[in-house]
Amino acid sequence: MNSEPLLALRRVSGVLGSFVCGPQGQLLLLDMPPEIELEALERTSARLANLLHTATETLPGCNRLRLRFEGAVLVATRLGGGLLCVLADDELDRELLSVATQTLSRRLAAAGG
Amino acid sequence: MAAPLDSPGARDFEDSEPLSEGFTVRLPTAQLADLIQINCLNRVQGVFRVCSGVERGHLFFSGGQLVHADFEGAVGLDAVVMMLGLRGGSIEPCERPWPATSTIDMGADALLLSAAQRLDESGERRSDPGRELTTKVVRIAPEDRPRESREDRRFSWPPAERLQRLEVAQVGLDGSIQKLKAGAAPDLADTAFHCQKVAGLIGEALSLGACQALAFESEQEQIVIFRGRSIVGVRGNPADLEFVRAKVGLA
Repeated sequence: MNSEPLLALRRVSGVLGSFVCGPQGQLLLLDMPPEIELEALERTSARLANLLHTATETLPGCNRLRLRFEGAVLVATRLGGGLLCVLADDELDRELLSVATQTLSRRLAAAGG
Repeated sequence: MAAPLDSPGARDFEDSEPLSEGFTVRLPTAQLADLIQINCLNRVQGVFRVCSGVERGHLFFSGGQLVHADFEGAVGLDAVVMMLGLRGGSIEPCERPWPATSTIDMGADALLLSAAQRLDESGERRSDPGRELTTKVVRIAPEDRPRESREDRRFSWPPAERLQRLEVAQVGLDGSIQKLKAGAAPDLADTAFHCQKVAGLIGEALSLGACQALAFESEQEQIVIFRGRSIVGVRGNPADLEFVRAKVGLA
């Protein structure tokens, strides 16, 4: 699976990996640590899509979801019709991630993604 | 020149300061809410007497929770609300019979949030300029003390008017709605329950452990969901939710 567009996110402090999934949760781009299995990521992307769908019924306009775990955070941001998901540790540079996400979004839109 | 060890001054000091666990602290700015947070965080086991003028109350701590409170005939959340409304007084450990049943069934964060909302709904805090100094006597149990993060130490109680605006839904671990506050709709409770469960599955799949909290964000509003003894969903504008996000590690 293609990971090249996501490599820029790796340069953001604290980012451990990222992936992009379609509206139904299907994986489109992937750059995650190898110890996380593809099957687990597929289940995760479907669940993230489900979470945002559920939340939108209560919170219209919801465009971002953050999940806090011990020592890690998973951020899912709407990107076109899909989701950009970033796994990061507590050292995450949120401002830089925001800039990198916008750049990635423009790049994928220009590529028709 | 240093005073000799057998001087009256040295003897008086030794007589008046018996060795004991913990410190006696006199803090003009100390708040009861802070004490509740600290005692829960440190899993203090015991009873504290709260005195303000002629009024008396008690706080019973066990297992990292405030499990019972009484104040001038009121018990549970009502008593906590009354005590949080005091402007000052003293707080000290005491011996007291343990209650047969718990009157408080929520974690410190949810409890203080609920109490602050009730306090605001009931009107202004009682004012008594002569009682604005708080004496805290805190005994900290050395065992089972969880590691305190920098976020915990930085915690400060937010302005009450911000809390008042937050919609809060509290859901039991079986999905039953326990409380809806400040105009919270059942939808918020259902969303909190469902999303907390799904987030738990995500943590499991990615080997990240339990999901401690999650936040849904739009430009105007956010929903923060976290789990203690129950599942709590809090909805409000980003500024009002700032302290909640900080508390759950989603600042």
